[in-house]
Amino acid sequence: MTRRRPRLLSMVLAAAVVVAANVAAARSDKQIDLSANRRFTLSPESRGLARAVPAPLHVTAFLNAGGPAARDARFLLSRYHEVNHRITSSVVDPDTHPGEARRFGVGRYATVVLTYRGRRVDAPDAEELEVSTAILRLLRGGTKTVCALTGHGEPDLSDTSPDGLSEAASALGHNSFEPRQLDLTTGPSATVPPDCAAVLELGPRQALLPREIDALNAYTRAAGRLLVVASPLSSADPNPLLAPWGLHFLGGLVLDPARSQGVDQSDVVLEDLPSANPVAQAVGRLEFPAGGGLVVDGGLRDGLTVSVLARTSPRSYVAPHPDASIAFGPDSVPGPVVVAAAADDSRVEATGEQRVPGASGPRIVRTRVVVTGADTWLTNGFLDHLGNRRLLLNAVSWLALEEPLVAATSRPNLSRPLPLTPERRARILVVTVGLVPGAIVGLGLLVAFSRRRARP
Amino acid sequence: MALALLLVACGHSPGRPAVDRLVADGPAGFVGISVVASGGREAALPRDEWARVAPLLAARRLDHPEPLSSYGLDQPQARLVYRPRAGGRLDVDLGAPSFDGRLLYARPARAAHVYLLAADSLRPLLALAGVVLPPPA
Repeated sequence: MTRRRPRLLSMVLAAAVVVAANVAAARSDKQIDLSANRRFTLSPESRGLARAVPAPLHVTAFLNAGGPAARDARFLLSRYHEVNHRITSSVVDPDTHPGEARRFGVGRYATVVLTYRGRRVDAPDAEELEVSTAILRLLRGGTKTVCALTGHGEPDLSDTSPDGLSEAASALGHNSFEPRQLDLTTGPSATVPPDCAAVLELGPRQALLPREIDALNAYTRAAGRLLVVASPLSSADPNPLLAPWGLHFLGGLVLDPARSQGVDQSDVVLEDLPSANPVAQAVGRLEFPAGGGLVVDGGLRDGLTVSVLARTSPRSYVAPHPDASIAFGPDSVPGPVVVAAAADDSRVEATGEQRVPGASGPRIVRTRVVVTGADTWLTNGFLDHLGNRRLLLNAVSWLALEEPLVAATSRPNLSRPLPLTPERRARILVVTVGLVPGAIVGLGLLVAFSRRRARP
Repeated sequence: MALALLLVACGHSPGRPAVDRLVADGPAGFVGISVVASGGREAALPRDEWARVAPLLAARRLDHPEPLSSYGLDQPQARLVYRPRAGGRLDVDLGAPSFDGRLLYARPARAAHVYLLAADSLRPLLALAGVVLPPPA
């Protein structure tokens, strides 16, 4: 009897401690984020951005309501609301509520729509980097005009066929960029309008006129921003636009036996994105069908930085005369081949500073150019393949000097498609058929041998 | 600890089957399967295509659906009609495509749930009855 009492007392005390701890925990908001990369804790930059939102901002994430992505999204978005109650959010299942998805023009799972003061920006994912960047774009306000060249056989921005660019135009529109067509082939003078935040040459089929080249070169030299998306399979030659910036087209067709989709070796999957340039950020992989190679020469002058954005595998090559043969031959150029690049040229001019009234001093002039050696990746049929859409938005944002948040908010997207390229298939075969069974057999032999030696 | 485990077990609800079967039987269970368009045009499916729709597997089940009009099921654009060997008839209404065009809303006659079927496997069968499904976005 005397032993029981202390035991009973201990049990009651333990229960009281547990209850008290639970009551205290229920009253506290403290949390510990044990997830990979602390993906559910906002960075200081995101918290600062959220605090700066002065009016109601709503985030709608279109996700399968029962899936883990929706759960993660609710958790992440509630973090923004905790920082600033003006930021509200909802998760809409587009399968259960198709009318809502259609009303927002959403055609893809994981689209996140942010609305603020009558403006809208779409984010491709419910990840902190995407949401915070979208908030930043909304706070900046207004849209920027990007001017798309016409008159050389470019696909139309309103064309909804698989070869059209309506999806690209729509993606730009949802991200506060207003695409507008620009025809420099006619008129008394070829001049890029001053309200063009960037000039886009998207898939020309014919060569540019000399007066256009002069106008565009004058534009880029004067702190212009140029996106050139072209194919070696057309008669357009964008090299006069690119040469001043350490870039030019190699010509020919890129083939990659190790990293391609299906049996078409010219439908290249790009997994090597070596640059830290914001254009390549969070892109993951790209699919560039029927593209050509680029040559990058970054050593032209001080202040010019040329980045390789994407390149093919070491087993790839450029077939210089694809009409005749696509087999690797003596005149083929072996890989890896650069297929996307960016140039950033900053230089100081003696005069022209206008930010300080009444003063005129040196100013920094900054030119940015992005070029890809393929153009099909941008069309409606391919824009949603792998990271293609992200590349387009990153490129235009970087050109328009709207760089996404970097560093602290850059957390890897944990759900990424994995194309089964021939290289990857070979690796899987070696591991599953060779290494793993071999290791098991080896271990068994080792154990058997050890036992035999241990017998008296 | 045992009490905690018991509580967790009580709170755990058995999961749904991994795949919902709108029609459970395979091709051998039927004497005929056809597609009937909303305009009345009927096309009998070739026997070698029956495996696409028998068993009829759903990609997803909506547990709390909106009104049927949201899914085009108030006026289905087509109907799959199954004639079992044992007699009778099974109807599955086919509504509108999902928001991205990759799935199609469906509902067995008098069923409470709405299901989503893969549009790609149904597209050629519906075309036999003159029903054109747009390609996915």
